Amino acid sequence: MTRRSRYGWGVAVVAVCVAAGLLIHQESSRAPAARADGTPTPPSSARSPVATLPPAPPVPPTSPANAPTGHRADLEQRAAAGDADAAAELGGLFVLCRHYQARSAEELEDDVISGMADGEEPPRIAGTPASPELVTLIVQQSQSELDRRCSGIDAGKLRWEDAARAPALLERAADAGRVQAMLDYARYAFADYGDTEQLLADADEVIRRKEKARAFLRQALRRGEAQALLLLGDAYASGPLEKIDPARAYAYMSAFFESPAAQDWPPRLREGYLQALAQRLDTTQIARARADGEQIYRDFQAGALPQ
Amino acid sequence: MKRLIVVLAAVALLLAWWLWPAVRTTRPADPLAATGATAVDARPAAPPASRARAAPKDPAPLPPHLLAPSWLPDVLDELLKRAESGDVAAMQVLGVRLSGCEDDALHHLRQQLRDDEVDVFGMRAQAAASSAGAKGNLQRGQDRMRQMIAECEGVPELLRSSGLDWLAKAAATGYSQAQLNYVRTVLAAFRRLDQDEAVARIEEFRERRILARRYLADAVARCLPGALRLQADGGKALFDNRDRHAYRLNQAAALYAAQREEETQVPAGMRDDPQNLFNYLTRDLDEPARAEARRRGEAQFQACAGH
Repeated sequence: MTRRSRYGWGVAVVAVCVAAGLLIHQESSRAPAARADGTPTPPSSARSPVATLPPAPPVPPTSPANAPTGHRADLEQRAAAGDADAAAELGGLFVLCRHYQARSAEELEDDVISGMADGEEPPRIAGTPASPELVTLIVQQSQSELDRRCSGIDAGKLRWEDAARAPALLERAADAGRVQAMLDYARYAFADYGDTEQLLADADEVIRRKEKARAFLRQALRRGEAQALLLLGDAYASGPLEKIDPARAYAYMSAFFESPAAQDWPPRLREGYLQALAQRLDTTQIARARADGEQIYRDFQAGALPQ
Repeated sequence: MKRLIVVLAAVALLLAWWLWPAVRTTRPADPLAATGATAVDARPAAPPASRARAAPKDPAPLPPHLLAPSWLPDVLDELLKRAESGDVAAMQVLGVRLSGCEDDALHHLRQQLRDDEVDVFGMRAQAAASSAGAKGNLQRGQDRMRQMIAECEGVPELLRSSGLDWLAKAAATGYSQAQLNYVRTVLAAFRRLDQDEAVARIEEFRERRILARRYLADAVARCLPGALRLQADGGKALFDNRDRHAYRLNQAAALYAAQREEETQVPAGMRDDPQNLFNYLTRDLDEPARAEARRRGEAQFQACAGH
């Protein structure tokens, strides 16, 4: 029997991207971005002019009290009526929370050790399998954020069919300017594909989504969303939106680590991640990637797209 | 003036005489024109009007010492030298043999081996109860995988990813075996990818699919051995899926044609129940659509019957 190991580590791979609040839209995490003309960029919650859907009422926070069914039903209704905020939240919930389980840090460590003992393949960072310690740290880092986003959701009631609706919901919300949806779309634009043959049959659509996901990431970056730096770093480290490039990955990840959004990442995790990337680089390349990272962060703070 | 009219009439007659036999006897230059399939709109190949088209002359076979099971690293230089000097048979053999050495192919092979070893370890307690035959099969499979890995590791890294390109080069000469192998290898290579890898390489495979569609349509039109089965197996990825109903109907027709062919080639006890498979594939079609699929499949089969 073939063990689809990379799928087995799906949670861990997701974790690379969701760590440090990626999945949670934290207003405080944004850099003090500015437009090219020097005026401050409005935070994405200000829903700037990109929005194309009619304004929607604010989305109440997900809580055990009103989740899952009541809140979900409300989101469904509002999303169907064209509410981009509801579409963003519903799409994110469908794709993120389907496999959610509340787990302690120790349980997560045990999961990683058991997985490796069972021959599961760890996620790759720039082509190199991540160490058990790094995988554990990544998974632990992401869990608290998943807890915040998915707690109160009855994951058992979310089905594959729900997750398959996520890309369309997220794309609609992202088109309407919702930054969190842009980030979620960049990771889950293909969540509705069951097997690779379907991807080939739908090659034109896959390429369209891929280009759109890349555009959304850059749009999020221009909007001052530091998590876009992390996602771009991840895309260069592991694909699939960008061609794997350890130096670019190093630059974007180190830029992300400069941002306030990364300050709750444990130092060992930050160092471990950069070390994993550095395995593919020589000292000159590392120095250049660091310098590029500093420039990327300066561009990001200035509200400009990195070169 | 009269003289000019006479000259023009003579020229017209000459042209008509020159063109007329060509129209009646020459195959269309584009194989797709004969099959009803196009690179964009790839339906299952329509059956040829009366009989299979003649294939271009195949290249002279290679000396046996260059074919499997010869050790690839030992014969690589000679194969390369021949292929580079235009030996189409060498291009084809090189393409097939190298296609198993791509990074992802090797990666999955190593993973499969590891999985099997874990499974063997897990089953050790039951080993005494399992048959010697089953253990022998497992062992032979593992030995074969180890051999394939070692063989590929003996090939310089830069050459390992050139298999599909060599096959494409051989196929472009019209060599039918290379064309069929190109289709098989493209499908196998794409199926081996996980979702991230597939998305990462979708642009490359969209281009390869255009060629694969053309070669498959041509192979079916020529009634090449194995073409109907390949069409049935590859239809999901290769047929145009913009019209979902037509897509399913085309897949069903291709399956029916392959099953009809196998009825004449494989003893009843040694093949799957054709009705079960057909029913499964057509579960979303109504009875008139199923009948249409059978009719088209039968026509394809009959067009090639006896070849």
